Amino acid sequence: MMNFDLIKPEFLKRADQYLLTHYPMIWQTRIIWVAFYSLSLFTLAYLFGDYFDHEPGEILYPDLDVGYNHYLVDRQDRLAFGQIPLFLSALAVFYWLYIQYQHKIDYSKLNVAGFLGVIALNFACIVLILLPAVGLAFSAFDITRLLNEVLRDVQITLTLGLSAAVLPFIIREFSLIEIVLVVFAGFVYCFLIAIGLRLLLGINFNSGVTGALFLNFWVFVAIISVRFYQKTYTQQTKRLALLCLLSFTLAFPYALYLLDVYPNVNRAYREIAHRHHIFTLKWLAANIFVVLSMYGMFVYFMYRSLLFPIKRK
Amino acid sequence: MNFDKIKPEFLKKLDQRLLLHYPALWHSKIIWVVSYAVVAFTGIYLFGDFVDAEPELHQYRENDDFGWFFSLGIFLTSLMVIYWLYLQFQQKIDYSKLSFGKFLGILFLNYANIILLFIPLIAMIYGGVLDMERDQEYAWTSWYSVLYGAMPLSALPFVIRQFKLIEMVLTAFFGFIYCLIVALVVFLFNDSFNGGIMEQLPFVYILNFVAIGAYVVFKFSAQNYTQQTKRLGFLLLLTFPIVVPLSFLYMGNLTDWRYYKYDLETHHYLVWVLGYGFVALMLTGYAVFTRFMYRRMVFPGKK
Amino acid sequence: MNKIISERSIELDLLLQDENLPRAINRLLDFVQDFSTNPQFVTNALQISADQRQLARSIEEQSLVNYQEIDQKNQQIAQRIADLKQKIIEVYQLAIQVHAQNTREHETTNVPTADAAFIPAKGAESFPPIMECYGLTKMYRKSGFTLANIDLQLRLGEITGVVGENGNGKTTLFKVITGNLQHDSGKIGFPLLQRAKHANGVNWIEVKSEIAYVEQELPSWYGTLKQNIQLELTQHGITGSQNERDAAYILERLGLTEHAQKKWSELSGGYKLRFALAKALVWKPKLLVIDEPLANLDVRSQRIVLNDMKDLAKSAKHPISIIISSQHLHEIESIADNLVFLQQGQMKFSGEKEDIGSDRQHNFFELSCKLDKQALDGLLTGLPVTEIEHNGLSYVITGTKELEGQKILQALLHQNVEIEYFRNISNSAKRLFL
Repeated sequence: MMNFDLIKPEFLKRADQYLLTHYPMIWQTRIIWVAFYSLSLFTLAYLFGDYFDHEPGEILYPDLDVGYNHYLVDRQDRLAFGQIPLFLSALAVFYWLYIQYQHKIDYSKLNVAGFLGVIALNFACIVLILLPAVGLAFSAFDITRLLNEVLRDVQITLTLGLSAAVLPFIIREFSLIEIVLVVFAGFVYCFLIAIGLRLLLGINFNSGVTGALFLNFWVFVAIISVRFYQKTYTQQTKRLALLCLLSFTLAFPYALYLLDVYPNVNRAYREIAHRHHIFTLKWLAANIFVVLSMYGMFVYFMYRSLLFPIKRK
Repeated sequence: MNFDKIKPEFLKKLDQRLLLHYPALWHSKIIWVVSYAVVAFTGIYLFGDFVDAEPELHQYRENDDFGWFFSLGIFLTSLMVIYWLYLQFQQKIDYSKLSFGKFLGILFLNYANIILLFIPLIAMIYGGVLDMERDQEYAWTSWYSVLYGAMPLSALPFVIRQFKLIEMVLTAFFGFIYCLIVALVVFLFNDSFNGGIMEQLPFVYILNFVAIGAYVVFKFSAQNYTQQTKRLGFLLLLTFPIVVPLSFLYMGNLTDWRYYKYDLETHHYLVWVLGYGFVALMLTGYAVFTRFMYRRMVFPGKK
Repeated sequence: MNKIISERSIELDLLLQDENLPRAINRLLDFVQDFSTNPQFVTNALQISADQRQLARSIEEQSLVNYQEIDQKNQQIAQRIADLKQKIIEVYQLAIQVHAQNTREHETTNVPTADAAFIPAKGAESFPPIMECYGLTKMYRKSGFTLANIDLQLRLGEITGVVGENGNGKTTLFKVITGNLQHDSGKIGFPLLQRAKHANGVNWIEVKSEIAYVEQELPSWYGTLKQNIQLELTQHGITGSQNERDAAYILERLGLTEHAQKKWSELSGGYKLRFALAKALVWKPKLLVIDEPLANLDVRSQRIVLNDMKDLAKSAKHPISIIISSQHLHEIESIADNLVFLQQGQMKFSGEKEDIGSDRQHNFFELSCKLDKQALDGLLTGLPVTEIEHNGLSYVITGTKELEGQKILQALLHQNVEIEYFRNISNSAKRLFL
């Protein structure tokens, strides 16, 4: 459908072919093309972004009063140079996942370190895909507050999208509609739990419900682990595992609160979207390094278990 | 998902009757959508207020209600719409023999299905979940976006089998990119954003839309269409609700329209009539184009 | 092993004598794979194949019409085949001598032996089975269907055909064998594929990497076809120039080189199957499981695919065990060594195809002719015929074991009856469906 062969440099095509015939798992991540497109777009966005945005001194509609004008200017930039590029980047991440789905790669011979390496590569691809949006933000936003808001959005997207780094290992186990329905059912389930707790026990939504969901999460993980270990898993087990994988990044901040990294639940969740301190070392260590490592180990275990035959379909 | 056990018998019989006598109605799954909408609306209306936070305790807390209930509700309902579209994709229904009136009827039915899926969210406004006026206003604004966004989706079931999912996503994506490039080109011929580009850009978009539309219509009429033509047709379907309001910019001063709206608030039923009349007109426009495209695609394409 | 190489050499000579160049080239490619490790020989063989293909295309396009010239070119190709074959034999025999010498030296003085990797495996029948299962049972609770008490052994170099009506458990059996579905009871093992015992019985992580499964519904490929083949090789540890060579070999061997740069959507159903086979065979699996491959193929393609499978299964160096399901009974019987007949989930027959009907009480014949039943009945009076039935397409004549096909034919020919089709199905899988 889309043929970009003409714009691809020859040396990169050769490098891609080399990876295909020597390192198929690296080839599968498409790191070469992701880096190529991402760095090109980042350069263009960073160099030329400032020409197209509103400057703080400009007036959009001279006939309207001044305060409304500046507000309109801000909103235009935030939408055009912040939210829309981020939305397009998210679509690009979905497309990258679709590319991962296309080929069946045999990861069974990788050890844990190998799995973590591939996950790190996948994560690098996701970061690269979001890079042009960051470049555009740095170039176009003149007001620091706006810039920080956009970077915060990027941080949230990256945190929530960490599961995309492990999906390539298991994405072929599910049909697309299955994935959509698992997400849907997961949300509905959490909602019902929250409403049930509120009605029956009067527990409020923040720390109480989050705690209950956190406990629920680990019960599910235990069930899945036992089923995979005993090789008695079914398609429902796999769906539950997918749900746990997707929701781990939502459960993890509560663990940080329990471990006294943060003083309360609100702070734990807001730290991933802290207004003034984005991409801090704490956030990197917790939400990237620790989360990806835990993802790696669980997916390694799950992937190898899935090589054994399913109990019934 | 197997909901057979919770489906009432009388509804199953009614569904079976539709299958045997009115397959297009059966295919729209209107019975199940209405059942869900009624049950969910009633549930939220009656019990919603017991589970939300009340603004008297903490003014701040109501924000959580909007996020937890309404935003999440929009997200979940959007997933349901995707599932409904998937169900539409599952069966190949022959719409080619339908008259224009029946085709329009199916389109309205599809639209009604999508709106009904979002109806339970209205119960949050009336049922006491969203207590603060500001949140209710946001909710109504979102509701109008739903009314608007449902229009292209209601035409999708007719053409959804012509495309792969990734094709549809990429078409939307590249349509977006194309619009950005057009904006860049227009900007290059202007000094700045002020006045000039913001007046010219909508006109350029409308011009593009009409030109592409003419091209697509010509190709389909001549039975000379390819998969690219179909993708362009799909893009036109998606962008129709964006282009039409742009054309209003050239029907008078935008600020005059705003003042006119304030004046209408004293006779607010007129706002409803105008609003929903506009939706009906747009759906009719959709029916015309989609039916034309559908009947042309019954003939073999060029490639 | 000398016996095998000389048999294959004779086979090649006979094909060259018959001027059957396409088949001769295929067998040359197999010959090179089995008896040589020299990459130059592989390249030479591929070049000969490419030249022959070019010649065939020129003849088809009528750009070459001079018969003398065509004949000359064919003879040149035949000579090149013979020369290459001879070179390979010489090198092979030299290597055998060196290996034997080194082995004797090793036994006396511990001198390291020459690398014996190039020497083809000695007789696949001497190995334990690739897969064996006993009492294998799988039940689907919803439908109530049960695949019950399946006893099966698959060996290297053998082709096992699985036949049965639709919905009788063939695909279920394949899914269990390939580790995609868990059985409910019974035992399954892979003695040759599993190095050490595993707590759960079968170490599927180890075993699955040696099994190739070509399903009935072929999934789409993305990217170019050659890329997919190369990726498959790389994943099995074959990289670099070996990767390129092996990919080129399998594409040439299965007649797919011309289509290698195409996309999946540009292929017909038959070529899709052939590419799926290429992907399955390129990394030399020990077990190939293939479900209904002939369904979408034309007659010529069926013949090509079946011949290819037979040749590759019985490779001297890399024998494969193939288990194949199909409704094309006659075609499957032509290549299968063993047959399994499934009926309602039960294994009604399993064994060598020659054993079908060995304990029969009756003989069965299929006949198509223009006579009506009464006339036919009258014609065959005097013969030990017990029943004549018309199944919509042809007659099925049932008789005692003394009833001979020649006698039926004599009776018909004596009356100048025009015979459209006649076949003795007493030892055929077809009688299992009666």
